[in-house]
Amino acid sequence: MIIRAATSQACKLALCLFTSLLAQDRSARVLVWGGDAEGGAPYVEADPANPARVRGFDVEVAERIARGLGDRSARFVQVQWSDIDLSVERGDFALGLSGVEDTPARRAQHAVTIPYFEFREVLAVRPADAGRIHSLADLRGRRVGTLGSTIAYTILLAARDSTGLIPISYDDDVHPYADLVQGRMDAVLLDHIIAQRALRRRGGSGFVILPQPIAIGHYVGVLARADSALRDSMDAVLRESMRDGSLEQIFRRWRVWDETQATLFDRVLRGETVGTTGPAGAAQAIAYLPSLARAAAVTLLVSVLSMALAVIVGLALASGRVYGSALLRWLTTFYVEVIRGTPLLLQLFVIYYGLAGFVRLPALLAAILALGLNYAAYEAEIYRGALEAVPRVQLEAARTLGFTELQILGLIRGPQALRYALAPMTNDFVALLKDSALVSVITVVELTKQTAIYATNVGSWIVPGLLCAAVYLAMSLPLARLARRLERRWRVA
Amino acid sequence: MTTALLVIEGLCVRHDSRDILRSLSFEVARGEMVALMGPSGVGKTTALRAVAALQPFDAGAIRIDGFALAPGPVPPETRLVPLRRRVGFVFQSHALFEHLSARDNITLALRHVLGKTRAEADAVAATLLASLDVGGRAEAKPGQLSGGEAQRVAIARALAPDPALLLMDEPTAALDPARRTALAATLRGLCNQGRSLLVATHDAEFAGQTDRVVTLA
Repeated sequence: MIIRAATSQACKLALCLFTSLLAQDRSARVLVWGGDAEGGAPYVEADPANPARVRGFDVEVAERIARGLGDRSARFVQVQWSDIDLSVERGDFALGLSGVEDTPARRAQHAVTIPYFEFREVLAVRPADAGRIHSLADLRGRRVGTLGSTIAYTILLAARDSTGLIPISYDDDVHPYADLVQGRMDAVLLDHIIAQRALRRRGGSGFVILPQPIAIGHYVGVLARADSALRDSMDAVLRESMRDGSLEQIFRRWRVWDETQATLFDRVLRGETVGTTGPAGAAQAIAYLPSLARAAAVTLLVSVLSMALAVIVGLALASGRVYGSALLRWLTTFYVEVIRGTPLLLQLFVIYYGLAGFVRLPALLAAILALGLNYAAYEAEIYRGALEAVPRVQLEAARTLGFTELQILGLIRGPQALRYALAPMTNDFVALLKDSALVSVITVVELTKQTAIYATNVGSWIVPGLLCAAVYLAMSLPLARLARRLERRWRVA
Repeated sequence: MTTALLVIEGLCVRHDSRDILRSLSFEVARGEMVALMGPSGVGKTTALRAVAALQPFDAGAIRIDGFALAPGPVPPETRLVPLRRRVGFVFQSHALFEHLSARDNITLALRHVLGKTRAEADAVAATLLASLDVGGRAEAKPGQLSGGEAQRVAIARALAPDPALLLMDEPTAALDPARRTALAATLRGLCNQGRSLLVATHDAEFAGQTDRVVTLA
């Protein structure tokens, strides 16, 4: 009884604490804002002195807005950069801020603040190419990296059609520059702040930033579509901070202030409409369809070639496990266990980035290798089971007829094992088709990645999601059908 | 009786320190049909398997038409080629290759081991299947054959390379009395062609139709 009473008291106390915390959020008027602190300097990054806190110019802008709205303090919520719009609309936080770009699509889908910072899309190239490359037009047939779901990526997509360059999308803004220095990329197009930061981190060498910007863009805060009243209040605070010099101080502290910001402030305060200038406007939804088709082809290509590799290596491994010496059996078992026991994502990183010091594999090849070698471990187990399922007495009968071991494998054991293996292999191929989405982490834009880019740009997952699902099904269903037909044909009697 | 085709002397097989065969000795002459009799588990199948080099033996000697097997591990297949040419084996479970038709079960070794053309191999298969009264089942897969049909296809497959000695393990196990009599007649026909047969069986009636019975105990 005492225990129950105490438990019930504790529950009540916890409930009180929880509700009071919620109330405190309202009464103490905390501005909850979201951004991406992963590699986010100088926008938002974990404070080296206290990793539980964040610092950066966007952190200070958020705090300035919070102060301007009353007695508010600002509380940071971590969110993947490409998901800021969706999260703010879901209500995870009131304001999204960390280098959020001003685009027509974003303006159409959400409530967006006035621009508070002007950035330049700049090209970075290796020093040896600085004399040859001056604009996107000089990059025909060359690989140009950038962050996915950005204005820069939209510009590159448009340039692919007009100048024939090859856009490569990354999930982060560090690896494009690493790959540029290593020769995997020929250029990187990103915001000048990011380019300058990358150059500082490399001690000012490895690549150069071309002085002529490719486009001009602006950072804004993004709010849920329904929060336009709050947005208007924030706009007022931003204008005030432009007038009173507090925004300039923030930018100067973070060494991102330049004269273009002063011009931007003037134009904003005069009430001018400030838009993005550059070679490409916002991409329409329809513009993504060819990219989606191309991405579906990449998914199919990666899956088919990976599966072919998995089958070949899997057969070799299974043969090693069934026919090999003790050492070979141990080695093949070791391979199978290590590969099955570690994440595919890790294997992708190791093959693409980890091996870069020894061999610089192209992304597509690295993707096929990683997926193929990973699935080989699973295929090997299927084949081993299938080989062992062929009745031993048939193998003895074959020996009495004078067949060699190799002939027995090729003419009698293998063909029958293939039938046993067909159903699980089909299963694996369908799984691989979907696992191929993981290769986007090493810059291969396949179906899921392209859909994510598309969804981010149109601000909704519904149409892109359905479209993507339909394409996956269109690839996997006929395969399952074919496998069922083969099984039926082979099942004779 | 002319010279022996198969000579077994003092054959011993031990498994897990248990004697499965203890000092078995007998001969099979050319054109002779010998029944190897005894209750289940007495080592009949083991003896056949030792002769076919599917199983090692611990002591004794086996000689087939001049080819000798010695105690110890089974030699690699490359050294067994002369034996494989001389000895055919019909398993109790028939052990037909499930993925191939009756005809292809017979022609596979003819083509890939003996190097015959497809046409030559097909002709041999057609003759054998017809002589065993299963000529109409050439296209059937093993799963579609009855027990008696499967057995005759298995006999045809073992006979195709024309071995001097045919080993058969419990051939009457799955047959009705009428089929048993027919099988005995078929096997007699093979002996009349000069082939030797060693048949492991626990069917006394069937054994009575052979030339000689060797009893294991």
